[in-house]
Amino acid sequence: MRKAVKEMRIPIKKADAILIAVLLAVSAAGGIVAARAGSFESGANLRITVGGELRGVYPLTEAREILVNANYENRIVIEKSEAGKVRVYMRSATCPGKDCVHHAPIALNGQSIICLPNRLTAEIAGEESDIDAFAY
Amino acid sequence: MKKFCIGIKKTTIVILFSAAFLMSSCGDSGNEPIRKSEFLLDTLCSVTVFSKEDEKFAEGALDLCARYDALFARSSRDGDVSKINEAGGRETTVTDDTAALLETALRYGALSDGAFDITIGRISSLWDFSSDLEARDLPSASDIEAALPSVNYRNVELLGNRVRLKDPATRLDLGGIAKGFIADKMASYLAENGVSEALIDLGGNIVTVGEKSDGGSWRVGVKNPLFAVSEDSTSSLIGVIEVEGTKSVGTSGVYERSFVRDGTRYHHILDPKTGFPARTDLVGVTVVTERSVDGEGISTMCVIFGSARAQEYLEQNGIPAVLVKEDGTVITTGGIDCAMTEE
Repeated sequence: MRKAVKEMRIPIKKADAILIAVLLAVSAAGGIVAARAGSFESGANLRITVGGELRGVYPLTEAREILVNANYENRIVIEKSEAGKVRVYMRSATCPGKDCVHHAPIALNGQSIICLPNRLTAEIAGEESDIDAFAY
Repeated sequence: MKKFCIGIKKTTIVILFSAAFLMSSCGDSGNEPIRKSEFLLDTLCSVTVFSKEDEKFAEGALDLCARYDALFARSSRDGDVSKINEAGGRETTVTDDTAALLETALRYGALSDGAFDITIGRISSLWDFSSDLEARDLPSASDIEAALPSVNYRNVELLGNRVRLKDPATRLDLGGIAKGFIADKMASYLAENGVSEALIDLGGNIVTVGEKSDGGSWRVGVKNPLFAVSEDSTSSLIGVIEVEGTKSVGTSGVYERSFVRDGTRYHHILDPKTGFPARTDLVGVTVVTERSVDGEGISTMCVIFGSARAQEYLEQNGIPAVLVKEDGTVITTGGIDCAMTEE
């Protein structure tokens, strides 16, 4: 047998009701913004920094080549396959050693390519991930 | 003031306020990762903490990393390693930390019968992968031949904090193991300062610190070393290793610092016996250990061993590991659960 729910009547001022409504609306809006910020598709953005300073943020939804000039020159490619898979790699660099060019392509949130001589980092960021770190 | 009443159930009030609280808090859970990074140890080093109060300790851990970098780097003139290398065979007094690291490194030298050897400094200098080696001549066979006799871990005499190189021509290179030692020190520093949840990433050498606040396991992705070169390799990850508490997940691989010339891949893991990049059928070895210094020693040693000897060693010692062969075969040991991914 279904249990009867007791209804109580609470006196509420009109201002209180408006305040509750406003608070709920603001909270809901905040929640929606936060949810969208963490729900990018196709690996979110590529964040490029040089010497710790942000040089650019590029959505991974479109293929492109990015030229970064600092002490050396790096050419970073965002590549998208026909199946929609994204990967990012360093096409060329003028730095000595060229470890960045030999670095494996990156494709997942949190992965990065660095160019040590140019103090450059290119990191996929912005999408929720269930992986905490990458061993390599 | 006129009052009005609305019919409202008690449970409805609870639900409304709970929803309001959850919605307003979901954008800032208080556990948002805060990551601090520095270029140290010839790579990008970062420490991630999960509360604002721990941010200063993330910075402190990186400061510690920088101090050890100066102590152990061959290029650091005032560091202990430089002092030992430049002593011309005379005795040098080093810090407790350097002595402890040397003791561990020499143990791996003995354990591997010299497959892992910190006296490889002269050979490492010839193969300077940080220079534009790809564009210039490779080290000559005669130069390597001349340097090889100086490579022998038994040349290092360690008595307490006093170190002497019996062969004055010998040069130490702690690059194969110092990162792990430093990661362990950083993890201890964080724990001693009450940081209960953190991640240390020294160029892909991972140390998890403490338990995750959500009660789950730490999930560490193991990168597919063949993703860079194999056209038909569709996965950027070999799998994901889940660990609990403070653990090290360390990898040695032949693709991160390497290049191909005339069909031959030249990589940075040098064989102390030959002076050339190790001829191995393994392209990557990832091991899970309590201490990162052990992880570095074991993973490097196993790459040089090759798959058969490495697998035997790891199984005999019950060490959880993921070995990737050059043909793409993946071998796991020590009961490791490395879930395959479809990324």
